Amino acid sequence: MDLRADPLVRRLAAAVRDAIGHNPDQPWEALRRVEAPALEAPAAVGGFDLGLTCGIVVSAELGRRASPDVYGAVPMAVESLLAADGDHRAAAALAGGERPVVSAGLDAAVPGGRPAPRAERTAAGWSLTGAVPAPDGAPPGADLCVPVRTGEGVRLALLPAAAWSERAAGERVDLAGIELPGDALGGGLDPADQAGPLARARVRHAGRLLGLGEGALGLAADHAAARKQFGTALLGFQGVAFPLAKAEIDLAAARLMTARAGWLADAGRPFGTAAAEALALAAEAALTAVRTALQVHGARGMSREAEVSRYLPAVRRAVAHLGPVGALWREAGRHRLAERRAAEAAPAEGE
Amino acid sequence: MRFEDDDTERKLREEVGRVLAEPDVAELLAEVRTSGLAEPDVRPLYRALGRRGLLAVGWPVRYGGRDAGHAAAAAVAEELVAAGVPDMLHVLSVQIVGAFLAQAGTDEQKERHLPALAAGERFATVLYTEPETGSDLAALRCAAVRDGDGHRLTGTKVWGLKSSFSDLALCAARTSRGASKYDGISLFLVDLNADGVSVGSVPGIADEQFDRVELDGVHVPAADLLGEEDEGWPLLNRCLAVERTGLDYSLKARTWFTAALAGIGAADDALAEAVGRRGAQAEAARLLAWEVISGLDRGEADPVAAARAKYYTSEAAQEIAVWAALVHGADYGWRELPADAARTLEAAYREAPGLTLSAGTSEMMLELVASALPGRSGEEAAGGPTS
Ligand SMILES: Cc1cc2nc3c(=O)[nH]c(=O)nc-3n(C[C@H](O)[C@H](O)[C@H](O)COP(=O)(O)OP(=O)(O)OC[C@H]3O[C@@H](n4cnc5c(N)ncnc54)[C@H](O)[C@@H]3O)c2cc1C
Repeated sequence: MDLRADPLVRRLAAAVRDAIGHNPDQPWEALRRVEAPALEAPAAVGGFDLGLTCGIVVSAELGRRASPDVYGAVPMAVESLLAADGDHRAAAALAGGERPVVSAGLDAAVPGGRPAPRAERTAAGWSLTGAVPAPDGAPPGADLCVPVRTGEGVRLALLPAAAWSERAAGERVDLAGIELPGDALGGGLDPADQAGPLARARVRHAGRLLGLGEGALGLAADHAAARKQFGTALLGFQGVAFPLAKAEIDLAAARLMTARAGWLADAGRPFGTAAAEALALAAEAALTAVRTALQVHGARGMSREAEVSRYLPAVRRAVAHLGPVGALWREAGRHRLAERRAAEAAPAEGE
Repeated sequence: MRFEDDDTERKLREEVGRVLAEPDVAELLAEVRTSGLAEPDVRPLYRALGRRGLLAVGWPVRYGGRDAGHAAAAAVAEELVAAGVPDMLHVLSVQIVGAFLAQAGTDEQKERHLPALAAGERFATVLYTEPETGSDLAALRCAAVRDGDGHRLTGTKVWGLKSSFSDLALCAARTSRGASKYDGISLFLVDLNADGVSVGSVPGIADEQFDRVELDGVHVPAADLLGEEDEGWPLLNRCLAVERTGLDYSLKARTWFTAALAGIGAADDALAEAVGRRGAQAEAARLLAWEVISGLDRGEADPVAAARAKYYTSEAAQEIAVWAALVHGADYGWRELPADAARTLEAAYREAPGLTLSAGTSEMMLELVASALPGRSGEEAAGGPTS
């Protein structure tokens, strides 16, 4: 194995970071400038086909600034539209960054998550019921991806801005009464599909969580180095330094697991369990890093003007975005037990 | 990045498999595994592996290696441990003392010592820690006094391992008192059969017993001084980054996790969740170790990455050992755990407390990692540079 970061990845991260610059709350134009929407998309729809590895980088850079996730839904929607054999033009528009797309309520597609909105067939297409949480920081004119339960399982629905933006009230978007044309549903979102759009979304989202954790940790380390109490920098106290160091180590572990899941996916290998593990590790590491970062900031961390305060709500939403972390661990655990039983049954193959 | 073996690594793994299946090697391995001894003598087995050139594949050819690099050596170590070859003597002799010599020794010293270590003909151990100096190693007291063009060493070294199976030891001693405690430390290769050396043991809870080595005016010739006199401390820190990869700890995590699963059939939600967590921990531990190893192959020794890896791998292995006790019960009898897995886990539980102490305690690793956090100058990179 060779686990040193690739220069390409470093360059992409720097480019995205520079582009986001001083405008972390509205990163969409920045992503367009660096052509991020095209990174993972297949060449057939004008994309660069650079794989999940690049998706992790973009997601992580958005997370690092606690920016809204205006990236993850793009490759997911593109993949889903193409899987539903379909609409190359719509997919090409998304990959080309012609309009933004965000997602909400994806946890409805996984065990343990919220009830999924429903889509019933009508003569003209589909009629929706149910609600999803309002997406955070959606750019104006963004399409919205939501999972909907149909007679044939859960599928991804792509709602044009006109269909949903008026319906966002407070924390929720009410979908009841939305009518969609027959071809508006993308492919299936089967949580058991170990190489499907949800598995990929997990890996990208692990990247986002890593970014959130690393961003908060960086702010906390800088603060701890600058702020003095008892005549010395806070970072000189092990009670302050050690939790930060532990958070850094756990993020490093999750970062490698996430890179591995991305690499396996890009190499066409099974990556379902790797994706679940990466997401679960990243979620827990990010949450701990953000909590630690707030503690290290003292009361000023809770003021709105403190940069670190932006990470607290962002990490809560991000941790729950793809369902409960416990469910990921159970899925990974059951998979490892099954693997072990298979190895015992075929000892000649085993290690 | 590449999360799979390259050709060299894959071929070496296959070669290890073939060698371990050769009748004489298989018999030696079986003897070690079924000896019933807490600390069997692995030297005959190592010699057989050494004759086949498998103990130090990363070293230059002229010192008994194959010039295959750090990743290749790690692949071999992984295969040996997976097959049940005990690794402690290898870690000390080849991965620590040998690697140190390869880094810091003169050509003459390398030629004199490395081929024998690579062949498993001689073995080496580490004598740093003393009764009064553990984490604060620079405060060590063992005295090295000039005698002719060599030195005489006097002092007590404790908590080392495998000295009674070893021929030489890498030893830190004080040659002078400077303005700071970091000045005046020197490193020596001590012949454990020399006059004045007595090797005793301190009975302990783990299978591997601690040594207590008394040095009473032991003569060490000038040829066995490593690096410059009084300049041992920076040397020690530099070499540490090469020795500390966390690989051995990550292998314990994996071995113990695998053993713990052997007795688990159906899992309820809580158990499945715990298995998921421990499995990911073991996997992540391996990746952190390999991140360090990959850096070494590019000539980038990164002490912070090494500290991260040491911390995470040892904490993970310890957690897995303790978790296995909770899952399987005090006598490892709550489930259908095969007898050899139960033995492995019982020994693991007794060994586990030492993992977060040896080769730099967890606290010293956190100090190192914290010192490199953004915003911190890193002026005070402590690091418990002990084995
Ligand atoms: C299995 C095993 C194998 C070993 N093998 C070798 C070997 O081959 N050769 C050898 O020379 N030694 C060996 N050692 C010894 C090992 O290097 C020491 O145990 C280690 O350096 C710690 O020293 P100590 O045990 O004296 O603990 P102390 O230094 O007394 O520390 C006790 C506790 O206090 C913590 N502590 C100390 N200072 C600080 C600080 N400034 N901040 C925060 N926490 C602190 C430590 O982390 C530790 O948890 C081995 C130890 C073990 C357990």
